[in-house]
Amino acid sequence: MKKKSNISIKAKLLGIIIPVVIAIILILVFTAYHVSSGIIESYSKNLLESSVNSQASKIEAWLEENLASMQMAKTMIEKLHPDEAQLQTILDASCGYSENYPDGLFLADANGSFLKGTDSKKQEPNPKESMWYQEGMTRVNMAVGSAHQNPDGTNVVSASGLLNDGLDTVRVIAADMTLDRISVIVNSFIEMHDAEAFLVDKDSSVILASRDSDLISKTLGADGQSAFYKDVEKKVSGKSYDFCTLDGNMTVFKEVNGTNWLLVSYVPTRVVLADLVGLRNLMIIFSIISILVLCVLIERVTHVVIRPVKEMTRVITSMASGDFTVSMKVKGNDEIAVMGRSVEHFIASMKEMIRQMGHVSDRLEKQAGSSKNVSGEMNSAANIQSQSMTELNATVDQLSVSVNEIAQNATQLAGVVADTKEDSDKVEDKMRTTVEVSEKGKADMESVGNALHNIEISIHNLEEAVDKVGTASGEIVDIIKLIGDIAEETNLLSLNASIEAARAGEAGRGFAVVASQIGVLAKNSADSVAHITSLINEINGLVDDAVKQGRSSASDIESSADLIHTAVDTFDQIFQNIQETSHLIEGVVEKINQVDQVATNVAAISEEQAASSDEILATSESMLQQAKSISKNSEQVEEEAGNLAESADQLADQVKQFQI
Amino acid sequence: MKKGISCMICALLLVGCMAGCGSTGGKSGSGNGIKIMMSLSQGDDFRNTIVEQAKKTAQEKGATLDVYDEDGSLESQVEHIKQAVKEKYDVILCGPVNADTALELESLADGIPVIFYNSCPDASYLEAGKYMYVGSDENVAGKYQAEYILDKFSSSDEINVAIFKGPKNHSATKGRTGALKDTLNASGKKINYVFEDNADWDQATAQKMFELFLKTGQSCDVVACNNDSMAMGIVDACKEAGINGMPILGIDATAGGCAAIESGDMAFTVYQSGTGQGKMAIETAIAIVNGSDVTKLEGATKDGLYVWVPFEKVDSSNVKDYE
Repeated sequence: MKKKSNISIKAKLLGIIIPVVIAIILILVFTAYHVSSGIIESYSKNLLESSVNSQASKIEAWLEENLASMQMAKTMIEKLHPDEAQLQTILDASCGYSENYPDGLFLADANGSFLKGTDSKKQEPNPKESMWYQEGMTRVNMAVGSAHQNPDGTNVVSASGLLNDGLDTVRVIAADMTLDRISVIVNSFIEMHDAEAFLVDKDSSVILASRDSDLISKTLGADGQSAFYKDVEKKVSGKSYDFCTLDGNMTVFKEVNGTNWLLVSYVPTRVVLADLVGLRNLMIIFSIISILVLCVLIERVTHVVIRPVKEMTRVITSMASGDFTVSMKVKGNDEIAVMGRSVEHFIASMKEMIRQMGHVSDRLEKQAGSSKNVSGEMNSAANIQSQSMTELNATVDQLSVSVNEIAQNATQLAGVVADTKEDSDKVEDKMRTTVEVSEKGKADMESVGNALHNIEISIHNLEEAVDKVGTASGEIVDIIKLIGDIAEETNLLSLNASIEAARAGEAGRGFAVVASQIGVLAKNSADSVAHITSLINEINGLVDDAVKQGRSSASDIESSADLIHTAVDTFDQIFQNIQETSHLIEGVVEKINQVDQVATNVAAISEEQAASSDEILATSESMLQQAKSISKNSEQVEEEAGNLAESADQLADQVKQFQI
Repeated sequence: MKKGISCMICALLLVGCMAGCGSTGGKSGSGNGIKIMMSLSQGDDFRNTIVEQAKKTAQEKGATLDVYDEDGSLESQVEHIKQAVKEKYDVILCGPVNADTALELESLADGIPVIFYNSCPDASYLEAGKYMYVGSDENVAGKYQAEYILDKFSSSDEINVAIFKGPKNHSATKGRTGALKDTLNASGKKINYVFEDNADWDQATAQKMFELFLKTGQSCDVVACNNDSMAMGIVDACKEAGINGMPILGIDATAGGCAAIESGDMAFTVYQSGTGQGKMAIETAIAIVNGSDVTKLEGATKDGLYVWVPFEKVDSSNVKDYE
């Protein structure tokens, strides 16, 4: 970074005030010059205009005077009707009467005769062709005409007019005024200092009068004349006679009454403004001097005013570097003095404040040290807590895992119980089927009983037939005996079945065997019957025997019928037993149902337990987190306490820097 | 701060406007109770026409008009101006005996507005709304004469012109003659001024001068006079000399002039409306007294110094309108 150089207040003040003062003075001078120039120009214009007006009036009066004296002589001639001698006397008298027309009056008539005063130097070889005669023919009252040259070479303007004397011969009376004379008259009437004037015939643009005798009787704007005359010529031929500035000359025009004359008066602008230039130079000198004086004055004043400020700057600079042992002397009662006193007061109060700050920083340092210790302890405690919480969290985690396992097992148990229930349901079905089968068996037994009864009848019938036939009854008795055997075995099997059924569980299977056995027996019985039938056929001849035997068989069948009835009764008992068994199985199923419900409940409860243990786990984890953050915060606190201690040290160092 | 200054300026302007309104507002055009003095340099046909019309207009507008004929006396005119101040006239109509005395007449009027008529003072003595001139622009009359001559002799390359002028320092003389000669000179033709003199408005003087001119034997194509009276003098001279057919030009269209045109003695004149001048003189007087804007008057110039009453060309074709 670029170091800013110090600019003193004095330099700044001078840097602002001096340019402003210079600018104001310059503006003042410029404005004054401008305004003065306008005023002077307008004043000069008015002066020039009034000069030219007055000059023109004087020329008019001069001309009028001369014309009047000529007119008087003319009137006298007109009224007197003089004879030649008298006329000559009058003309002689007019010679030298006025300096303006020293040659006096002269006459010419239409016949070409010319009369003049005796002393007159006027030469006129050809009066009728002369300009004064020609001009005089156009008027009665004496009036001046155009500039012309006399035969002797002088430039003149003639005043002429018709002589109204009642004679038949026309006569013109005239007098010559030299342009040199007119020039002297014209220029001696100039009122304005440094102004010039010349007289121009506005019809012919011939210069009638001028200080520069070379210009007299010359045409205005002719070759060899300055640009100013050429500009004037343009104005004259354009008939614009307003004030104007031509070629650096303020120019005014004035018509001379009663003539064709135009008076042109001019004054060079630089002459008009010469005084102004003097004034301007004076003002410039004055302003330079006043600027210098002001500069010195301002420099001195600011120096004196700013001295206490410099003293104060020194004091404040020391203060800024921490040195409050300085003091300042205050004089006067201006703003700067007030400021000085305030600074002194400030130093005193600062000293006191720094002293107090020293005390405060000492105390602060101590407090910072102790707070650092305390926070260190706190940090270690927090670390321990955090560790404990981590352990606790692990424990809870394990617990949660166990509970979940229990829940899983309970659910499995409930599933097993449900399967068992299903199986027991199947047993119940089987039991029911068994009951039905046994019912059917019972019915079959009854049918067997009935069949036996029918057989008994048949035997009785057979006995009658046997009585008639009676041959093969012995064999039939055997077969019946065999059937009896079979029934016996069936009975035995029924007994076995009942025993098996009593053993429940495997009862179904047992009964199936029994049933098949019963089927076999029945088949055997059928075979036997077939055999019996064939035997009957064989033993047709043996009927007698049979009849005999039939009779014995009939008694046997009666006894077997009894036996069958007994078997039916037995069957009923079996049936009743099976039904009881069924009832028992139903009870077992019911119990199993209860077990199922209990197992389901257990599973549900253990699941809830698992959920609770999960929550506990989450809680303990957040507790762990908090414990960790507490630990971290306490570390920060410890660090801050360290910083505080450090800051306190620094503060103490800083305070020690002040010198009080 | 700036705001305050601008407010103040606004307030001042407003006050100024209101003050201005107070003076300019009111009875514009009405001449009720206005006292007007009319000073007449010298009675002649034309000036009497002005006076008669002024009287008529003043009566219409309800203004009081008192007319004083100075009979060519400057002293009498000064006396009447002083009287006007004493009797507290509101405005003075002044046909100056000598227009060069305008400044003195104005200072004698002691603040009373002066309206000049008939003879025009130098422009430097005029001031809008205070010292004004009511009349016809003399230059126009001279220009009309020149235009007639140039038209009449359009086929000739050279014209011999005789000019009869009014008094030497009269504004009408300068204006009419100057414009006549300037217009003729600008035509490019060769113009010979065979005679040019001041006959001071007078018929007999003009007649005598022209008779003398005729003796010189110079040829003359046309005679232009600054007024009809002088033209009548030329007519008389011509009749005596037995000259016929030479155009004679006048200005003013007086009764005599018009009769001469009617009879063929005169060729051309310019009607200077005496009635118009009389009417406008009164209207201008009333406008000044009422503080109205004088540049709004008919024929007023922008600078407010002059109120021009237009000229009209009169020849045999329209002379009946002016008799």
